[in-house]
Amino acid sequence: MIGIVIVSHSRKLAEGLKEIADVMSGQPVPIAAAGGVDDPENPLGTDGIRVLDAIREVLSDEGVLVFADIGSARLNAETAIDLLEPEEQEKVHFCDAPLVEGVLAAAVQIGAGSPLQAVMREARQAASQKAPAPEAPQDAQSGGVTREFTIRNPMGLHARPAALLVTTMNAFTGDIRLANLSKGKKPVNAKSINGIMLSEVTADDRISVTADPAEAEPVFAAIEDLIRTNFGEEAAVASRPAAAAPAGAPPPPETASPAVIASGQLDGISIAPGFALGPLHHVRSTLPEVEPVEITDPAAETERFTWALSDAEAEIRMSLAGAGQRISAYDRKIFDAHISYLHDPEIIETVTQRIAGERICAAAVWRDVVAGLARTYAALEDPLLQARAADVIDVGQRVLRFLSGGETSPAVVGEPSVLAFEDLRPSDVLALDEKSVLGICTMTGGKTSHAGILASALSIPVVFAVGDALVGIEEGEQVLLDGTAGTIFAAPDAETIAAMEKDRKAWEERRARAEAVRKLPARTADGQEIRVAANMASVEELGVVAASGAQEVGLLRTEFLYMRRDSAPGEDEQYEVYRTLVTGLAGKPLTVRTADIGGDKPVPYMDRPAEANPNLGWRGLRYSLGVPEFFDVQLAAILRASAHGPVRIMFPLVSTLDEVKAAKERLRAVMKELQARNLAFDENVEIGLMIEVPAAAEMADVLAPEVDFFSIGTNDLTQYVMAADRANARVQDLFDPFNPAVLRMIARSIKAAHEAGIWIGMCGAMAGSPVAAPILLGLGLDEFSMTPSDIPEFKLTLSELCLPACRDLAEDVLKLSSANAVRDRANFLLGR
Amino acid sequence: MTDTLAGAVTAPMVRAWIEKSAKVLADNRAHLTELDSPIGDSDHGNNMDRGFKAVLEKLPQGDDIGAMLKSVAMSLISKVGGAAGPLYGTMFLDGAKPLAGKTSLTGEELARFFDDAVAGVMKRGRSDVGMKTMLDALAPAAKAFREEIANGSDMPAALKAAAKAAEQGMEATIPMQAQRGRASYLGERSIGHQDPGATSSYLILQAFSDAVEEAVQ
Repeated sequence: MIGIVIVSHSRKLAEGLKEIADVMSGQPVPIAAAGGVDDPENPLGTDGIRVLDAIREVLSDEGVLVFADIGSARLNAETAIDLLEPEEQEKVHFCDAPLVEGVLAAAVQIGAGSPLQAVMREARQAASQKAPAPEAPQDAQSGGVTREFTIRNPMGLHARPAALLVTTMNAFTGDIRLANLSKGKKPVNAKSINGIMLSEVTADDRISVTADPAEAEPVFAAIEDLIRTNFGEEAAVASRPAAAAPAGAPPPPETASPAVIASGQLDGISIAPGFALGPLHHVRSTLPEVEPVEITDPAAETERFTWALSDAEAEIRMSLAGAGQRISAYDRKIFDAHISYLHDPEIIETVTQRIAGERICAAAVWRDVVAGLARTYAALEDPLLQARAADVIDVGQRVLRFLSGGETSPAVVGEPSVLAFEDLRPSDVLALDEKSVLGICTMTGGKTSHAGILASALSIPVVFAVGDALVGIEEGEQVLLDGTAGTIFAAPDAETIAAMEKDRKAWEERRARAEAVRKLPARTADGQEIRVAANMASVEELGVVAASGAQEVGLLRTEFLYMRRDSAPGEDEQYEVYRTLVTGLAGKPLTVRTADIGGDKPVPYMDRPAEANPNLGWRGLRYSLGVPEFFDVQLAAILRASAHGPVRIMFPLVSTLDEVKAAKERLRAVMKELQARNLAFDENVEIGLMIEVPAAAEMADVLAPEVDFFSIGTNDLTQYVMAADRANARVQDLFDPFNPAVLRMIARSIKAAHEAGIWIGMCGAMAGSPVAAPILLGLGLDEFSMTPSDIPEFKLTLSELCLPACRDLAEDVLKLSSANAVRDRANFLLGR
Repeated sequence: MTDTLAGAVTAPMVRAWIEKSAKVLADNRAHLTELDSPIGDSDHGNNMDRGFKAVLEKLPQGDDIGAMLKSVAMSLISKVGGAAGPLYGTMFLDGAKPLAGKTSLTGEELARFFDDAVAGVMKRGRSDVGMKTMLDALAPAAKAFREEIANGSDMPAALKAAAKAAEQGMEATIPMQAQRGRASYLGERSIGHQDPGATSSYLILQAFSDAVEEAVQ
């Protein structure tokens, strides 16, 4: 084991420090105290020979770190190292760290089994982790304009508000500094998520913001705006829990008998209701150790690091897309905070500098920086900020995975099990396969943690904070998880199981019935067949889609092609991807939506202008038509793939007839070019457009003759019809596709399509909603495209509906005045 | 007085030097502490006295000059306590390295001893001449000694010149602003005080000159 030598002027200090370190390290780490000199009258000083003996006392092949307090202690430590034999010398290192913090950090790291270089780095940083790194000289300050604000939202500037602030501040070009005046913190970069979070701004704290005079007013206005809307906090928190119970969840069970409670029961916090009986599987989730490897080319290593960051971001964005409606727009903000970490200038700067300075692999440096950051958060007073440590580790792990090239995915289990986590990470929730996971329980964590908020939307029981005793339940042991009561029973007796079996059965039966109809054609009770399709956003989903019971792909989002790279993919590369998908779908039609870049999906290399209102800006088909060289490449690639199987081309964010005509003209031009190049494609490829701008819905009868099909995008349509930002928590009650205003737009579009003799589908979130199913069916929608995991329950719901009743319902709800009234009416028909 | 004697420093002379250094430092204990009080820890006199008393206790018998000087180094490293321990320790250690087994030293060998000693102190203290440290006495002394030897001076004359240069260097520290050690914390307020380290270095070099002078007479 690595040894530690403490060199101090005071023998008492050296020995006292050794005493604390012995306790803190948790392991018997070899530590030798070399303090003071042999002079009873003047005991303060250092004895180089005592240091030499101390080094030899703890010396092993794994090495020794020597720490010293001040002045001569350091000189004597170095002298002692010089006195060693050369073969001893190379194992001994003077560690230039603050004595107390350095030794304690090193002892803990050594106890944890870290390698020497990692221990040294931890020790050196031990003091700097007490506070945010001091900011660069404040030249901007001197010329800047400062204004003070009071932060009013109840939770202060924790992750989501902090991310929102960083995002908002990043829209400005100049330097912006924020200081927490109430807590006396130093000014930090307002574009640094860490700087802001480590400023520990809580409710009612006074902050000062300093900005460049040229843009100070807009900066201050933006901050006032954020403060006025409580950083999107209050309303969202208040409106959270009600919707958490999944449809079809059984009522809360009767209270278990006291006798049962006494035996093997652990109490926690209910996060998501439901029951699970099955074997327990422990999942470990900590930052893995990374051996620091020396590198010769820091520039290349830095580039690798940059790639890992953008890969991680792409992955987060993709799993968000894959999670579909499982998480709300508000929850997505959590992952926006994760992405902010990946863009944090302070973190990137620190890592880059250390790669260059220490010439160590990016993985080790990143792990080190992230671990330090997580510890800093964990040590903060505010529980909300403490909970951010898990987010930091989550992001840290993700990037590490890319840096080390490993493609391990979290939480893989064979047999369906109840998963036990020490602490659930947000990405664990996203990566979960709800079909093979019966339930989740954790030792720690709270409702307000990101993972808690995400897990509350799961359709499996989730119980948090049952305590350390969870470790005591053996791997594979039968447990009964009651998500409603927030308890877990280890090795439940027959009586306990029987008490809950009944409710569980009803719940599981519904799930089983849904699974049973998954592969069957989607059909109503009175025999009407409906097209059920899947939404896709990556090649990796091919397997899931194939097994989902979907008869076609109603929406392939192509943005993933542009995300993880530094230049747009070429025609051949795109063609390969589309061809793989077409081939993989084995005859099932693939609807390819041309890129919807812009809005909330920025792509760095496209060098787009910043937009004050990106959702109303240059995105979707507008962008494609504006950059024909970009559009043509994608059209050519899609067309070439059509030679291998049924392909449809769909244009996003259409507003006018001219746009449709222009898009078709490009398509014809590309077709001609392909013919000239002697490349095969399907000349009768179906062309469609998305109905997501109210203008397109209103003019659907004019647009319909131009295309073969429509597909309604309910997220954007709702956002634009209701003028309600789907990311703004304060207007979430308006952002509701069940609003009759939205339904009338949908009805009008369907009618126009049918009158023109074309078919119409829906690929927005609403398509997979069982409550929406009877309404949309009644309105005559032809194709329902949804997240693959929604398909079984959707088909089951469909099988219980009769078309005439749905038509009556649809007619009725268009006359209702509110979204809730619509939902009530639909639920009544569904018997819920 | 013979040419041979005047041209070399013998083991007994080195022993006499060490013993004289211990005595001089004991005699000047209060003086060094007094110099150290305004700009240091008020412990230089005590530390040097304690160190050289330990040097005398541990000094090996025999005529191996290298072994004697190495022993001096180890005792100082162990017993001085303050920064002077590793600095003087390194000075004697680095200076003594090429001298192992030697029973007498030529002018050239002694010149090299001084050069190595000065280099050792520079390395250990990360310091140079002009920073108000012992180097301000040691470096001019080493230079003067080498020049005297090159000019054909005999050993006593060369050592005398070295001690003289050390004394001048010591006095030159008075107007300097300290850039190393505790004194440097005082900034401009360190100006006007003679550096205690340069003083003890001068005392040790003067003891060398005196010891050799006495031996050859």
